[in-house]
Amino acid sequence: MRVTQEALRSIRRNLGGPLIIVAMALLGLTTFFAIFAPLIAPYDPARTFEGAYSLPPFFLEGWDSRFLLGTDDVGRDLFSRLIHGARISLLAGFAVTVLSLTIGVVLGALAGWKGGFIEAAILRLMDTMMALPSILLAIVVVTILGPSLVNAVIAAAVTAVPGVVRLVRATIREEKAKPYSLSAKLYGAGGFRIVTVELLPNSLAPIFVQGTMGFGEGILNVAALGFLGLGARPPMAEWGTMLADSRAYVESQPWLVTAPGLCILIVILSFNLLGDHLRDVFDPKLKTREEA
Amino acid sequence: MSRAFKFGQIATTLFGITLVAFFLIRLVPGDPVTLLIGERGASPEAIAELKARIGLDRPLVEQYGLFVWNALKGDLGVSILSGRSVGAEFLERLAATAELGLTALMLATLVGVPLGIFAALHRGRLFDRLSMGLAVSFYSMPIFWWGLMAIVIFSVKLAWLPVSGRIGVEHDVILKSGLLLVDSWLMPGSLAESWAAFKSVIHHLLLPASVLATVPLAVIARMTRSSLLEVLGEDYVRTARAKGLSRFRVVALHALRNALIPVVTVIGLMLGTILTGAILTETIFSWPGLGRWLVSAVLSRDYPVIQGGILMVAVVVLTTSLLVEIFYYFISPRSRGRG
Repeated sequence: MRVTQEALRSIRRNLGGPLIIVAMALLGLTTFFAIFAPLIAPYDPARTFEGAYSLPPFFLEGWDSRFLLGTDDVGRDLFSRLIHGARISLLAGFAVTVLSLTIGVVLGALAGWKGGFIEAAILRLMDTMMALPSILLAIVVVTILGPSLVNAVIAAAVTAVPGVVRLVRATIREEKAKPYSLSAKLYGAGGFRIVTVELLPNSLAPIFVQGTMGFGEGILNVAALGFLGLGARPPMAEWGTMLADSRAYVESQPWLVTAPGLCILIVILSFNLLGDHLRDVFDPKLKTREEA
Repeated sequence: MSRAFKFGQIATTLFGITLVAFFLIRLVPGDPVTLLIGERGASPEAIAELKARIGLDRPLVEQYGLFVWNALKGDLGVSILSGRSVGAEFLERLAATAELGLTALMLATLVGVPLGIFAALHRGRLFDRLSMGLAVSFYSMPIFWWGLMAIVIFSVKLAWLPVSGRIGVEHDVILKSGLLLVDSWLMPGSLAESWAAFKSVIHHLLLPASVLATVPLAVIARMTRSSLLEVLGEDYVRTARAKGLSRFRVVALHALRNALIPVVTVIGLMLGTILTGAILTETIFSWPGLGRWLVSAVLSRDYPVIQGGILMVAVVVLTTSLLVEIFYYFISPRSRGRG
């Protein structure tokens, strides 16, 4: 009984303010939309309705009850496209995060554990990547691979790698200097075992925070590439691509531009709020300072 | 870390950049010559001749060696598309981006630092919550969308500010420094004409610079707040308070001086963010800067522009971060001990 009470109190304490709950609710809702997109969306996102071009959303004069948020210039239902866009953006963000964390953790752990030449080589490579504006690097990668959603994800992941590598390297180095690392070594554990079984589990908190922030940034970069015409190809219902598609109608039908942008903003904002909060929870040093 | 070691690091990074810039872009399918004269319509001989003229017929390693050797001598080659010197084009574009980027950075600092200070001084209260909420929203802003919305609101609906470009067409400013804010005063004609041109430049700058300032402003405000809060908890601040100094004196003279050190560092290191943002902002506002130049060079496979441009961008970024480090060394005695 006492244990549950303690657990409840700890959950309440770690849940943070109402803003965090709103952020988590929004992310939950987006995830729900993403998973059940075909069931929730009234129509196929690529289906065009003849004669129903450029209809306004429900709060404007002349809307059609079949299309809650109106239609775009070729008669596609905006609501359905936004819902399917949630699916694409979340998947893309997830893929960017997993890809960049995997590569980043391997390289960062290698650099932090081995030190010496390997560390220097990895760090110089990361410096090289960081000396270029990230979107430029992504543009070059996408032009090499060809514009598509998958390649935009790869490009966004590549640009996210240096940040992860630096973080993981720093935490592994810190953990490596602690006594438990030495004692594992004295027990005869090999380097691979010490890093994966001892050091990495103790470095998870900052990696987790970085992953949450990286999720939002991944979505943003994939959407930015889509906006530049280097990501998902139309008629795919990707939010950034939808923005680029409706750029020409920004004056006559501003909602076509407003809606996908708002979706991007809300999702990224939620991830950043959550990331900020997780950092406060996981970084006790910062927390005591805040409370002091 | 010794100075020689630091310079060695920078040299290695620059060497890496030349490799990346040179070889990555040659992995891109399609070469500049074919794109230039079209797949049909040109005889193989004509294509071969043009390739030989640009030097694309030589072995890759030789081309790379030539690129590095010439770059060391300060010659970045000639753009395939425009036929102009890459170095000259770079400087021209750099000036346009610098005008936009530095204005944005100035805006971000002028708004972000006071916002962070006030938030820290009102920690936990409504102003703090509101301004930090605003900061995290700005930080999450997809600026390509934000820019479009800004154009709709301020240029189209309200008609306050121009949609694109750097200056109104009626002003005959001659490019001297490349910074129109300066050049508008150097143009021939009366002072009134100069003033009109200057106003036009400011008008054109305002919207893209505000959009570009969004993310840096958020970062600066958050950094200022957390840094000031940290310093306010230090013993020497308590001592100053205990001495009976006024709250204003303690914050303005004692705490801020130390709190702003990390903020200045962050502002200096924000250059990469500014350049990334500039690529998107320049696309939206048709601003003739580095970002658009490089993106169109990538799309048209203009090898000399891409490799020279990327190299120079890296030089600018690395130089700034080195300057920030030197600056940090001088204003923060603590960092010197570690040397």
